Amino acid sequence: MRTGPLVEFAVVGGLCALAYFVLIPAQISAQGGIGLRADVVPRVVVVAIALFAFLHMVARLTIAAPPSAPAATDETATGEAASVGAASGDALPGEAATGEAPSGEAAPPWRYVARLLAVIAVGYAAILWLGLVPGGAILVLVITLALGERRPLRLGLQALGGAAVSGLIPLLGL
Amino acid sequence: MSMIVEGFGAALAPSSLLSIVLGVLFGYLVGVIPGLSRPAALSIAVPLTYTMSPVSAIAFLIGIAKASAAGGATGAILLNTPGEPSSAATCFEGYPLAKAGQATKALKVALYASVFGDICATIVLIALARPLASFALQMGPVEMTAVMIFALTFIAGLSGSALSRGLISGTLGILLATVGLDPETATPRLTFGLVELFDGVPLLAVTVGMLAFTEMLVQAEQYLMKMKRGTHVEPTPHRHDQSLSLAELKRVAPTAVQSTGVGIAAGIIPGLGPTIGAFLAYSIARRTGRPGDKWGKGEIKGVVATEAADNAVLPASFIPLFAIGLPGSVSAAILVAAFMLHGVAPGPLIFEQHPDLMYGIYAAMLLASLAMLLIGRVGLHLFARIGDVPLTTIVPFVVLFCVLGSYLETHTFFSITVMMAMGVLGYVMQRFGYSVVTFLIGFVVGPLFEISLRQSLVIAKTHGLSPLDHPIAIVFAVLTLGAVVVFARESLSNRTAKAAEGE
Repeated sequence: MRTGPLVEFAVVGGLCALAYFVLIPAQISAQGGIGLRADVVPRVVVVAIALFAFLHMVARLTIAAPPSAPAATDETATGEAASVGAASGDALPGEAATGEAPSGEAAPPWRYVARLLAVIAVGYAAILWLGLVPGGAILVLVITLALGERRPLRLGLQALGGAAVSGLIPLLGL
Repeated sequence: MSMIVEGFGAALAPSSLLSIVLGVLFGYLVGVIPGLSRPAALSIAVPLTYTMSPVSAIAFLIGIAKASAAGGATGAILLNTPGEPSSAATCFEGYPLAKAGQATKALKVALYASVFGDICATIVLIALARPLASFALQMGPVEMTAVMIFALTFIAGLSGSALSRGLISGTLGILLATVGLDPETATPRLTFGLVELFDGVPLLAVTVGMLAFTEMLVQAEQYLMKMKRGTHVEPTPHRHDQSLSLAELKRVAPTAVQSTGVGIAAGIIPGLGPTIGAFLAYSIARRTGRPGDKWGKGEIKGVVATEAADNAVLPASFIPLFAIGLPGSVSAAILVAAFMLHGVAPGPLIFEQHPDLMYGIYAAMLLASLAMLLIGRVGLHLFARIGDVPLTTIVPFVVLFCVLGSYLETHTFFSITVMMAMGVLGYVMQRFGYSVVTFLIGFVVGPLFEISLRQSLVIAKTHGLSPLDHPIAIVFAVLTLGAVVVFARESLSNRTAKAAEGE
């Protein structure tokens, strides 16, 4: 039996159970004086999510898994389009809006996004401690470094640009 | 009549005209640069409109939305890399044209088709929105609840490979929308003791986080992977001068009209969006092509089809937004945030409460179309060069814009934290095949949905719910069931077919 659908349901269903039995009772005082109780809509929504997750699991277990598609090259228009489409867009039907990576490629390792987030966290910390202008410069600088840029002039210019953009906020009184 | 004059006057004011021009310029920039998408740019731009008048603010955002659709063709034609997902279909015929030394011709025809589709759809919007709004005023809470359930189901079904995952995403968005004070009892719900959440999760932080920030994470991740593999190549654009003849314009005119119609239909129906509209228009144009057409080898009708449809979708997607307050696309959902920022609630009453604003917006939309034509024509080659901006510059600055934009909403660092958290959530959702688009629309529609639902329950309790009293609701309920059946069957048959191929 494939474990993927079961794991997915366990995670989603587990979170729904946590929300229903722990979070909602703890966070919402169910006063019933007038109209609908405050916790009704959140509870109904959580149950709906759990139900949809269950139906999704049943559907996936009932039908055999499709074979994994061959990886597309990065140079094809479709591959590029799918990569761009995977990022965002007004609607993403079949345009690689799936957990399986666009064009059948394997999902990237987590370390790339983990590294990016760590670097962005450093930049955010700089904004919190040093303020918007110096923090903005540091944020741009560390992200540029994380993306592999090493030329000092480019790094310096981008950091200055970050400071300038951040400085527009107090300057324009926004 | 005085309202029309007032509205047009507001749109023709120097501040509004400047907003339109700046919006169009920024929109072209966004469209040309592959790393930045229209919804992401709109979500970043909304905070910049704080100090503008409502007409100027909406004009600015509409300028961005329209021009980004037109600018997306530049990268698609010159570099085989669409600046917008909706311009992906333009690669099919645009890039072969560029390789054959007809890049300028392709760029020109893309621009003219974009403007044509945009203006036609704007006229349809102006003609249809108010009558539809009058009809929508006859709809009560029961009907509105049924419409929203149908729209969310339809969007969920179109949002990915599995209807159930789309429904989970949309419902999760509604759940997030319940955070804050209960609308009836003012009881805090899921606020975790944070006063900052009493007004709910900040809308801008959510949209900026899940669109722009998530996109930057994905783009940067893909860039790092390509760098690691050594497969990243900066393409060299080819450019030759080629003029567009009147005979060629006459030849592509029927395709432009046909594709504009497809785009308008894709815009009115919630959830389809410009990408589907463009691909659909291309498919139809190809099927209805004539002998002698060079499909796949650089057929300008293909460029016309995709660009006309792509640009027709946006104005048409405002029809459900203005008529019933339901955003038909992510861009429209972001505009909801902009409207609310300026104290205007989109919906059928907008024509009664803010008629001058609506006519001002209509005028601004038409002016934005003209600005798109002028600026696009003059800046054709300049915009092409902007597409060469490297990702190592785009990603850091867009992340900075995300941070600053979120900060501007509430002037607290809490919004930035929410933005980043939502960005991470959006990344995880995309990675596991859950639609961010459906989530966002569920989040935006959530409060309205809850109020309609509560009112419906009160009506049911006091008067009962007779189907004879709510025929519109029954129709939408049937449509919802039909959509569920169709999408579920499609999803199951796709999986069965793929499984059979694998055997």
